[in-house]
Amino acid sequence: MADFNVSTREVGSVSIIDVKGYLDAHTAPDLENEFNKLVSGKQFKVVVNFDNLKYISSAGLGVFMAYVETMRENNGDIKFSNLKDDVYNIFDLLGFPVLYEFYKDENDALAKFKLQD
Amino acid sequence: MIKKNYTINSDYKSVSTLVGEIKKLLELVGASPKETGEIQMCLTEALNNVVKHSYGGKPGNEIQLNISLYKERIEFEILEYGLPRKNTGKPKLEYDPNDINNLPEGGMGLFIIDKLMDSTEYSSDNGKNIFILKKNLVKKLF
Repeated sequence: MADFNVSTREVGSVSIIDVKGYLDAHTAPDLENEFNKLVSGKQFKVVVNFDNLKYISSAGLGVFMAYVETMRENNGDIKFSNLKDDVYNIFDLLGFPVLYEFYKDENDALAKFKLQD
Repeated sequence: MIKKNYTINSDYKSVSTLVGEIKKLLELVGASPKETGEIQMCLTEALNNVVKHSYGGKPGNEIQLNISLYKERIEFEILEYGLPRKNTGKPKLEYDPNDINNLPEGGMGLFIIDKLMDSTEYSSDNGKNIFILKKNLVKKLF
């Protein structure tokens, strides 16, 4: 169950993080590393595409909580897209929709960043 | 009723592997995908909490998981010998969405378990900690 993969693409000034597989306490450090790289490279506008994510635990959710402040303090944000219902339900349970913007498609999230430029 | 017993090492990879096995077991006995997902989530949170908090992230310690499968419910009993929980009250997750400097990065696991399971009990006696999680099933097993 431990298969997890994370990679980042650049679309204009926005970084899109693709997460795939199972994001739990075992694999959350990989996502944390990806965010560290973005912060080091001063890339603060982020869309996380969950299209291929099968599972997320609280350890994975904690990573987003840890970095959203840094991104917003630097005129960026973390926006979420392409969540499956069962993954979204966990975010919803914890009240994340109040804190984060969720989009059906990553292009919608990118468009929102453009509007904010 | 079916009983299954497992013992794993106190590390995240072992938890992940065990939860994968439980998922297959639940699918085999006919649990619904929704309930299987919820149980998978709760077991991951509960077992990772043992690794992180009871054993301080150190591998080489024992975690036992006993499962009792009934037609209309499932019970999980997690036994370990690490540090007992300090706070055993009902888990709360309260934060101010406007106060972005004080968002919680942890403490969500027990809250999730409390929301998704039908009942939980925690006890600690003579160095043995027991966490029991019970889930009533909409779709009968077997």
